Amino acid sequence: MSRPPDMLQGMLDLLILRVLQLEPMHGWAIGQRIRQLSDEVLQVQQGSLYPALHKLEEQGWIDATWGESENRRRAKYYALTRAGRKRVHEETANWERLSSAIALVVRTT
Amino acid sequence: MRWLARLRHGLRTLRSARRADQDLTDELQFHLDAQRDLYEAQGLSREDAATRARRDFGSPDVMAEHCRDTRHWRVWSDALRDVRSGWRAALRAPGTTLAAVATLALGIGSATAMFSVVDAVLLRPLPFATPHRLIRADQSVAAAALDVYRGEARAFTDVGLLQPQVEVNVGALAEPERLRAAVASDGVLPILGITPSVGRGFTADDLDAASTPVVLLTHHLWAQRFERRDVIGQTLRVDGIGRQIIGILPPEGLAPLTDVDLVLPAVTRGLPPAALWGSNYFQLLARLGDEVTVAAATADLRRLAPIVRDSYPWRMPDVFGAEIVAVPLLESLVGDVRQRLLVLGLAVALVLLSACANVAALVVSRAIVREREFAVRTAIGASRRRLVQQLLTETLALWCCGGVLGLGVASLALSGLQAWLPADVPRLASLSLESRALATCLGVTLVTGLGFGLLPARRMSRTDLVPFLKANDGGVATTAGRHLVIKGLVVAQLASAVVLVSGSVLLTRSLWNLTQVPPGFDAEDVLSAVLTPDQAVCADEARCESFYAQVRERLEALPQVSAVGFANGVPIDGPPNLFAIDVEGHPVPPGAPAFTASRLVVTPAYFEAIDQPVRRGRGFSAADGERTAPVILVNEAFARTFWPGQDPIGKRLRYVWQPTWRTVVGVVGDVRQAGLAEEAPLAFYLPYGQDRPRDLTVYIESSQPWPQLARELRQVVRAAHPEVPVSRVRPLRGLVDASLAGTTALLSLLSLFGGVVLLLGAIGTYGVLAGNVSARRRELGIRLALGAPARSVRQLVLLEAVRLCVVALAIGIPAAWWAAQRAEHLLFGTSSQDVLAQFTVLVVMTVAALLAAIVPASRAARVDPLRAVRDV
Repeated sequence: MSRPPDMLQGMLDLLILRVLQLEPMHGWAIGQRIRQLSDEVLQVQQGSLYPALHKLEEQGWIDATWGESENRRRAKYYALTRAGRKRVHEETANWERLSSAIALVVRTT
Repeated sequence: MRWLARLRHGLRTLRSARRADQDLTDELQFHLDAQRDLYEAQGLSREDAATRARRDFGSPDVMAEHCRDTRHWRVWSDALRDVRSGWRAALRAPGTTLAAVATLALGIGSATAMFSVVDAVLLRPLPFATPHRLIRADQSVAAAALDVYRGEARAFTDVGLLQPQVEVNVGALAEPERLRAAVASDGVLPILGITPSVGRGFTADDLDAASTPVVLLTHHLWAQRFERRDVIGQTLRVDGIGRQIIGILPPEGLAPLTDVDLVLPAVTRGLPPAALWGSNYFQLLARLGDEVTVAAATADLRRLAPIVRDSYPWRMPDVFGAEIVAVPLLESLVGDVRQRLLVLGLAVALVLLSACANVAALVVSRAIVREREFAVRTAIGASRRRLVQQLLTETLALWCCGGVLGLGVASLALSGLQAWLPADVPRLASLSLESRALATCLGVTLVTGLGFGLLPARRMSRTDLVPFLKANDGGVATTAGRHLVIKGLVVAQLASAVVLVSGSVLLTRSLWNLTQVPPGFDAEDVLSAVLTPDQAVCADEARCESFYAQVRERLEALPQVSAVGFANGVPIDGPPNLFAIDVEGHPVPPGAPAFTASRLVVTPAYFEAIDQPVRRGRGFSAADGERTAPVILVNEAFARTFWPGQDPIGKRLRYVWQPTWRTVVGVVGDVRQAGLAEEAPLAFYLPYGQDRPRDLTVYIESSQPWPQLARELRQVVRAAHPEVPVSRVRPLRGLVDASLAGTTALLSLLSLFGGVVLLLGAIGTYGVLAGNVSARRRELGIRLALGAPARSVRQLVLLEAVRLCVVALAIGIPAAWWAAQRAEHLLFGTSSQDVLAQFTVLVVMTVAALLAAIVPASRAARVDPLRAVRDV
């Protein structure tokens, strides 16, 4: 089962990193927060959230620790690493450049 | 720093894979619980909430698999897991695993050791400067020819003369010592690129007989004899002449060209012509000029041959030197040994092939047992690649264990080979296990492991699912393909065994034929030793003669000595010393090469001492001496060649350069000279009064044990003159055995390999047959139940064994025939078409196959028909 070729999925890494920029949280909370921040527009496909998280962890952008959740259950909390913080800035800048370029094309034609 | 975090993460995952998996499961479970709580908060019941959450999420197992897939370390963690599971499986069958690892170690180890030998002897370039530009002529040249070559040759930058080994007396010590020396012209050291570490090499002036005698020491001689550095200028007595030490060679010396203690200058000027052109012959070494090929060098040498011939002070045959060839130095050094080593190399390759085939068959038969497991795994979605990966990893792990153990086997095998190969194999001393050997070991391990592991892995992963998912086991039909692979591997082993056994049989016959060859003399109870009085002892010929007479009388006076003879040569040990002769009644046209024959100067008791028979006429007596008529003895081969059917007594012959005719007074038996395999050369004998060489070999026939006799001999010689060294003291029997040494060594090694491979093949055959029997249990049970006699069931199995054997013979015998044709000159009295040998091989292989079949056959006959039919 490969990931559906969705633009949302392509930007999933950036979304996760941005969310984690605010504070460390566990996987479920990340999904909820993305939904909240986007006013319910972006519903992350559950099948792709965790693979993306694990890939980011493996690549060294985020770090994971086990801690206690709000309802006192064991949960895995993700946080940005220093390299991850830099990456967020780079990726955000890239995204803004890309989206303004696309906006130009879409508006003029 | 990102790579550091990645590394940490990867290592953590590798180290505790189980913990990581548990964490993953916990994490996903947490998500499910949180989602369920959310739905519950929205009003659903607990079960409905849980179901909905599950449905939205998908299968946690598949999700976990995807998460694991994202790890790049996946390959390594999978490999580690496979190795672990393979290790557990191996522990469950320790005997088989041990046998497999041992077999692999044997195969890989001997292959590595053999490669080291071939590399050290044949492949590694010589340690001289630009060694591929060095050549040696295949014919020796006269001392005075050096100036001709130097002046006229166009293909070389420099030319040198070398006698690689002569023996000299080095004096002024407690016991006079006999050392080895090389004789070299001034060009030799520069050609080889060797500079003395102290002092200087030879110059052109040193080659003149009139200049001060000089000598070069080798490093180990200097270290042994002298403590100080400043030995330059000191005198060393060599062969009675005081020589000035002018330099010391670096520690490697002239190795591997020759291994000597000192280097003397070649004398190419200032001696009478007979010495410069007639008796001193040297090897010709040269360095090729830029862009000159070896063929061009040969052409140049041949162009110079007539010029050299005309420089001789007497008439030489027209074809003199026309066949001279320039040979690259490495090849001239190792050419003879090459074929023997390649034969051994082939044998070792077959051992390796056999060992790998054996273990591969083992792997396949073990994998057959797990077919059901693979079928189920394929059904739930394991990719074929994953299964192949697992099988391959397990196989490679096994192979690597074998490879590591093989290094140990290699070092053992290397010391074994060094001891076992005859000493005439050059460069043997420099054998060691070093980086190239280690790299070979690794390479061989990986290549054979992948090659032999991929085949069963691929076959296993292409399992047809349906028969396994049925209740029935599937029976023979589905596993037939697997069995074919195993059968193929066993047949390969048996065919290798055929080749090796065939080689062993042929060599055994050769060895037997060689031992049946009569050497022409009786070596029992004869001790030989070389006496080398130098100029101090033998200032003139009369003194020499009286010295030897003294020694002879004292030796004859010893108890239990039956005969004492002297001669200036040794039978069997080397090529004959050829002299050019004129035979009366057989004129030679001018310009044609003269007749040559081997010459020996002997005392009368020589023939009695070594029991060489006198066939006609008489032997020598004490009366034959300087003042009596010149007489000569010839051997039977000589008489047959020149005077067939006539009486040789009374015929005459003479040296080419002397006018004195010598009369034949008797005919003696033929004696083999250049080893037992070569026919006896034409030979003539002179009595010791009428020619008086300085160095003689003494032959003592005595029933005393030879160590004691040797001591008494030394005492006698010392009493006659204290400065005469006694060297090469050995029983004559040893010479005959030594000439068989090469063949014996090859035979023992080949038989060892053949035995090992045959054993492996027999074990493989046993495995195939046993597997066959257990697979066909139901069929055999039915046969027995229907009334077939046990004998016929046994015959079925035996027939299967014979079938395997026949296929192996069909492949192996042509291969053996081809190999024997290539190696024909190693055989004696037999050839690749030897019918008796082929028949022997046939018998051996059939017996081995039948022996391997005994246990499975009896087990087949003992199958309980009821149980076999009932069991599935």
